[in-house]
Amino acid sequence: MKKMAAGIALGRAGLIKNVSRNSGLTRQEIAEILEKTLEEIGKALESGEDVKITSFGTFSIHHKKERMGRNPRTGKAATVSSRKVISFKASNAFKRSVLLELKGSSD
Amino acid sequence: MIKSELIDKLAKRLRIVSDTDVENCINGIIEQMSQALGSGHRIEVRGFGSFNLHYRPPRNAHNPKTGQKVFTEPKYIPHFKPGKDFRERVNNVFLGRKNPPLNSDNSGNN
Repeated sequence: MKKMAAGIALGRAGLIKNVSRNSGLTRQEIAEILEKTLEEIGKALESGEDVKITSFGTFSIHHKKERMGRNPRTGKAATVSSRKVISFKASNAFKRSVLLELKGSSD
Repeated sequence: MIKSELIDKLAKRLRIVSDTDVENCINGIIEQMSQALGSGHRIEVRGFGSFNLHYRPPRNAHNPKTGQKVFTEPKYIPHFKPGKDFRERVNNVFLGRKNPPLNSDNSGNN
């Protein structure tokens, strides 16, 4: 297994196209499902609710305390305010299927 | 919110497709995502975030239960980096600021 290069980006359009190949749904329907999915995930997280998608992973909100940081450009010390950040933890199933793909494509 | 709840919500919002269609579609999206990541692509969804792989070097670990030494394989794990909009929306709620409404009718960009 070799080290990853930055990789070509797959966007919404590419993803929808790939899904439509083995799906009975039209691209438009897939696009709509994708969009609403992202919206629902966003809404749940905004309301502080975690989102757990089986065989994919969990999106959750972590609280960060205020801390001392540094402006990397000027080197000046600055406080980083307390905040909420989004975190994603891939499920074991998702990690496994990515690794299987990797092994399959690099040999 | 769990997957089945998400599927329920989507099926209600999108009357034209059945919940089986929604479920298959979501599974299809997940499958395509792992294929894309596994073949060296990065996934970028504007307004939401991007998925990438992070390298985990091999390391000497041990089984915490038995104390037995194990050697882990080098591997890659999927990593999600939330987009600026998404990040700010979540933090705005925490800061008590209002978020602009989502423009969900233009299902393409943003």
